[in-house]
Amino acid sequence: MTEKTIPTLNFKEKAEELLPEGASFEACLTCGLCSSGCPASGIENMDPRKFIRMAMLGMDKELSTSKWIWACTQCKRCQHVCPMSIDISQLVFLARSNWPREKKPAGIVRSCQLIQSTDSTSAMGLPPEDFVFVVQDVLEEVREQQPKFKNMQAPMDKKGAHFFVNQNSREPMSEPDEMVPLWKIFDIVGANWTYSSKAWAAENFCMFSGNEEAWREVIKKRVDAVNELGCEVWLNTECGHSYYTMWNGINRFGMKADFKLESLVTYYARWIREGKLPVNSDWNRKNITFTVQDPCMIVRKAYGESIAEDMRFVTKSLVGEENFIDMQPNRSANYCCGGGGGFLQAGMTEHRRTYGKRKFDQIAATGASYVLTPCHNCHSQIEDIGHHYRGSYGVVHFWTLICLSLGILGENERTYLGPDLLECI
Amino acid sequence: MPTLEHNGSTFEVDEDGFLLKGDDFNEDWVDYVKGVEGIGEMTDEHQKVIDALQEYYKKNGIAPMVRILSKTTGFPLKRIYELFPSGPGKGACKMAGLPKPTGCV
Repeated sequence: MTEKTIPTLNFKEKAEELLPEGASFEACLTCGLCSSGCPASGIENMDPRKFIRMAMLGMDKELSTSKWIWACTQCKRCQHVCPMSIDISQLVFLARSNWPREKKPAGIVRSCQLIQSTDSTSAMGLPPEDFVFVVQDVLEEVREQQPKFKNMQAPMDKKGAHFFVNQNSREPMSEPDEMVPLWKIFDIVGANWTYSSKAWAAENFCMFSGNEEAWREVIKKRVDAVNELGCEVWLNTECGHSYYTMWNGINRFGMKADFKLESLVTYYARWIREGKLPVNSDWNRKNITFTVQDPCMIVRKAYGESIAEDMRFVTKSLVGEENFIDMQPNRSANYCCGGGGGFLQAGMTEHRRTYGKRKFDQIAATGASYVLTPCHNCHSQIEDIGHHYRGSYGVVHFWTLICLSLGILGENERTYLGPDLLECI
Repeated sequence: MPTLEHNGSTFEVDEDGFLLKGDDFNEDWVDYVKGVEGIGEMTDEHQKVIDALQEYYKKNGIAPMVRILSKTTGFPLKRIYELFPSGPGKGACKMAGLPKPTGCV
């Protein structure tokens, strides 16, 4: 069998097609803002400016085969700081699409294949019946063991519910008790919500693999499932790329969605402002400090400053303003952690940790004891670099801290709390 | 891809140390993972978890959810973590010769 080779793309032509109006490569000052702010600079001897200059010089073969495209998380920080708003991430997407499947990182390809393998659209391949089983199993246990929640619901396929709630597969697969704090929040605010047995999963590694057709198919399944249940809002859980892939996909593929797309973070902030989630920071008697990681996929690449502001409002409400320390830079200018773009599944552990060093240093400079982030890839990566570079911080979900503040965090829901937070319960 | 040798057996592994070919699984692999995962003594309980993982994977092509693993083996999740400190998805699957978990992990 002959080994498949990577076809050569004409990068200059593609780059010119993608130029924003008014921009031109002749006018590029090669100022280097893109590269100096890119944590992937230097990996595989490449950086964003070099990528563009090589494209202009016609070095297509080198670019077509560069492994750097799997280390670029497509976080778009280079575009954010570029005076001409040149979007290198789209070139990287095209380059990824161009690789034969056999040559792409196996973990990303397999995650996409599993998404396509069931109606769940789960990157861990969990079929609908497994999801329905685990939700029911966990719910029954909570109702039996936590009297305050003996009537709690976790509705499945409820037609006409206001919220269609998606779920990252990590919880039903390996951390089922982590679903409970969110259900409790819905219970307290009286949300009319439902899970769906179909297309419930959040992840979309097909986008990361550069497989546009598979990306479209996944989004189609998800849009159809929400339309079918007649829900008004598709509510994205604490998962960064699931929001972006759905929002961008619906526009990109011209799909008809009879619903709004919203992030859970927006609703946390709204429910706190409306008094429905009566959180406060009284529990934080020891002045434990926190910082927040802005997931690129919902902040810089989607909502922008409004959701970054909501995240900070929620955090300050939960831990006390004096105990919140922002990273520098932050909000839309924040650095990607290195867990995005499928990097965690790219089989490039050393590169991923090199990328993550900038995030580690940023967190270390805050001196915060915990990082809050509403994204599973950020969560996994920030934990990993913390262990690798011998940091002392923990990483927690928002739902955990909300329930901690409300005094309703069950015993099995405390996995991510260090001894200092456990003492506050 | 990296290869490693242990007790005379050779294994091809991915970057995270998971076996690339399930057919390479043997006693030497178990002994190797026992060392890297910091597991003191292999017990019947470890074996029960490994058998359950392999059986489910052969049938379904994916690892089981931890709740299913708990029900099949009769071990609560806490016990599984005591047996495999890095967890069922990482330590136990690695020892059982299953591929690295997919998704946001």
